[in-house]
Amino acid sequence: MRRRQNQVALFVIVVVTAFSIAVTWPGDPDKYLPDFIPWPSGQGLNIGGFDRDEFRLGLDLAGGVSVTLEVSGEASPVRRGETLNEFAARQDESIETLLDLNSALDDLEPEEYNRPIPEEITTLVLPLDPDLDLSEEVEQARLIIEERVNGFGVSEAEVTIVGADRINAQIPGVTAQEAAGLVGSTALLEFREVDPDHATQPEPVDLIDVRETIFDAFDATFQQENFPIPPRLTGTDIPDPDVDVILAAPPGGGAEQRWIKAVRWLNGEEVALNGTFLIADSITRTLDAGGQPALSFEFDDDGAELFEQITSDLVISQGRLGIFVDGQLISAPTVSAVISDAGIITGLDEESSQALRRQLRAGALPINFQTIQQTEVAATLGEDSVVDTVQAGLIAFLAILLFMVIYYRLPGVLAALALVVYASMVMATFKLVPVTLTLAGIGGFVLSVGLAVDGNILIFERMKEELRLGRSLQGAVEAGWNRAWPAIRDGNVSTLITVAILWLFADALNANLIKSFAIALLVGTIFSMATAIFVTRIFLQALIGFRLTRRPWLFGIRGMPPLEESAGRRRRAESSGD
Amino acid sequence: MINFVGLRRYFATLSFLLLIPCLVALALWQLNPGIDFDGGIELEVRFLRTVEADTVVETAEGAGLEEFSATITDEATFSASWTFAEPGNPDAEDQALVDALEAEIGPVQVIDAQAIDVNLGVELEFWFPATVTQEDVRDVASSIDIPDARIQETGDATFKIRAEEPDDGSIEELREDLETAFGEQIGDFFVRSSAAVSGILSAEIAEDASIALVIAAIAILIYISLSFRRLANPALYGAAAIVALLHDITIVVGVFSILGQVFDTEVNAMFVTALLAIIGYSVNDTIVVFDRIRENRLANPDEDFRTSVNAAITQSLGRSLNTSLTLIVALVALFLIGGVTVRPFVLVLLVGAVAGTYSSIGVASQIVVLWSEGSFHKLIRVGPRPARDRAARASA
Repeated sequence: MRRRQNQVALFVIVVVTAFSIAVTWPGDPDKYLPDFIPWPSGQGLNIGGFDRDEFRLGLDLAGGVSVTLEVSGEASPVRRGETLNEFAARQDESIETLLDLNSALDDLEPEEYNRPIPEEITTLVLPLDPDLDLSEEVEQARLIIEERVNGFGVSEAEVTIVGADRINAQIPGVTAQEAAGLVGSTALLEFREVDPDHATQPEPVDLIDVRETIFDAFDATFQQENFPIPPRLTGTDIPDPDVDVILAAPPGGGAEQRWIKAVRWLNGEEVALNGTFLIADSITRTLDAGGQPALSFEFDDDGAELFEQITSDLVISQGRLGIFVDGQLISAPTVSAVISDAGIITGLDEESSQALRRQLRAGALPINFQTIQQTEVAATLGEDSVVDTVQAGLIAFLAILLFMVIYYRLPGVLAALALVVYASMVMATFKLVPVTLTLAGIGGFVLSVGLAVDGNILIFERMKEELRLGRSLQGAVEAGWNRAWPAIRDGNVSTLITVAILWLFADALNANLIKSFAIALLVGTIFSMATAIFVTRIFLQALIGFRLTRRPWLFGIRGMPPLEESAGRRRRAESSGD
Repeated sequence: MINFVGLRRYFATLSFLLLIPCLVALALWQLNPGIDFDGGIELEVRFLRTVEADTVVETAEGAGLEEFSATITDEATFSASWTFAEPGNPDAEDQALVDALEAEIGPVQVIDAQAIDVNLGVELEFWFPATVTQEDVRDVASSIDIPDARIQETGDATFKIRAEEPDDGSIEELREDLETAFGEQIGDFFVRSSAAVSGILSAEIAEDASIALVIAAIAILIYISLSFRRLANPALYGAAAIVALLHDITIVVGVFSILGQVFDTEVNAMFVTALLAIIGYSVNDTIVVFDRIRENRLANPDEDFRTSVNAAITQSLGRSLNTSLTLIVALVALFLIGGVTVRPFVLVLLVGAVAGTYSSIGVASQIVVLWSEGSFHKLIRVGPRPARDRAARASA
């Protein structure tokens, strides 16, 4: 019965290991292994929905930029034509504070404080109220950065909030210069209309038809042309016709050129309508006449004047109003009536109304950030590190296997096999979860290999002792394992404690590096315990019953008669030597 | 059975011989903080000679290489392939191209050479380093008001520049200024790696790192005390493990203080990560020895305590040495082949692994014995032996 169980377990181990190796095997093995051997290569394995892919590499290995921003003040929009004195009075701040916080004002001479603030300065930073809860604003800023990065065409970028007031962006495959552009400036909300000179204003169209055409055409080529399509419109998330961007971005033409800033007359000047005219607090979620989610907003007096002119034109031309955040089209509602100071955007669902509200408020009231950390690694440097590390790892691994076999003989062979099982399972886990690997992560993995070796060594040393005491093979395997277990458990638990503390402090120290180390060590430690508990024991038990295994020298023991297979009671007679 | 407890004076002497230089180095030089702890920017740039792919092809064809083709990658690295004039000697082929390019264009740096097939042809990856000296880079730094920047040549036409955070302006601006100045004053380059940390963050990292180390030590102390609760005085084992841990950490940190002084080795967030890993390893190793003491005590509670400890160390010696040896083998391989970036990280683990193995035997176990016997002061034999102590020993 027991034997049968053991055979099943062995079979499971073999299958899992074979699968793990197939998953882990690199697409181009010649890069790491001696290239005179024709290794199998290519991304061959594809079972069902499972497609073997590359490891997910951190920026130090893949190349790219990591930037951490911290909230440093609140940016408030400057109204057109406003002087610095007027702005300061409106915000109830002193001129000195504003000059301190805004390097853009450095060139301004005192006599210019009563002249309109230069046009290129669209926002000014105000001091931060320490009691203010900024979590919502930080989340808005994170979304904006995420949209910008996605719009830039970077895949697998990660933008996360760190702690309370920091944002970290991990952007692979860009330079620091490009990244600075993506995460740097604050967001701008704009209202645009379709350029009348390019007015291919649509005939009344069947929207369902149009949608199908667009989504048919929505393939890789379409994306490469870098259309400013908001991320939430990709995939199967077809928007409601009333918030329809499809008409704004027909394939084949640059959508950006079709939209121009909605410019109207204000006090004898041509002024573009943008988020600076919105009353930020006024953007609220509401319900439309039909009970569907909607967003209402309000302009200040100047904004209302502009908006009235724009909407009355749009009602006549049956055009759409384009709402852009950071140059990205967010929404393009139809305008059904002339609106002045307040409006409502209908045709949203629950989720998109929330998102749009966040984005509108972000455009209207962004917060200011400063860069507190930035790292950049060139792709070639990362690639060199990968090759070096993999080769070093392979050599180290082979050396360990060799040592185990020479020193521990037969159990050493089993330990070597157990380590192969261990390493392939850990790496397959890294690849399938996927765990982001960095140099620190690889260090964590190496350390966990050490732990796994240690588990095996502990078991074998105990087993050897038991054999020397004259135990049967069966008895020695059981006793050896049982006696080694407390030490293995305590050692691994203290490693897990270290992992937990690393995790707690990861955000504060160097999040990506330390998290990667901690996760690699965590996965490694768990598998190391599992290998010690299951794999090594099952391997050892599989040995029992072979005539060959009764020779003591196979276990590195000298001067003993052949071993008993099971339940022998030779113990007392032989144990005097201890 | 080896009488390890009897060797304790030698262990104590050895530990002091190790600790004193480390503590002196720490007192004199502290650690050499990297930008993670000090703030500032660090930029590694490689200066290139701009060469067109056509020029390379013309040169190669002029030298008589057949079916030659060359492409440029993003970072101005060339990848060229051609067929053999005479089969079987790829090295001569590579040399022919390099000679021709050096004669026509300038110095060539080969990255990778591969024979596609011994009889067919070769592939060669290379780039053209610009002629730039450390003084040139220094001049650029001075021109943008960071004359104190540390400049280090890390490879062919490759330099690492480290500068402090400017008083007026951000780290971001400083990096941009540097890149602009390099482009204007020296020429084409690409950034191999850069890192910028502001003072706000670096102060925080230093503080949190210390807190993390302390909390880790306390958590482990608690766990060991719980795990050894069936023995008399369980907290003693935890405390002894922590002392051994402090011993190991002092040695690692001390070694890095000396390295920082001699080789300018810096400590960064990676260093702290490695230190935390060493906490895990050192304690793990101590636990294995203590586990044996625990087992021996529970099996024979009446045995002389020294005998239990000696037996425990002897029994676990094979395991301790083998485990350390395998880990050291793995780490040495990583150190030698694993690339420059990971070297400090691996070195911490390496020194820590050796210290951790030694301290379990030479420090942690000895403390447990000395404390149980109440004979700490006897380590340094000064003055007459107090009677109280003899009595304590007799009762143990």
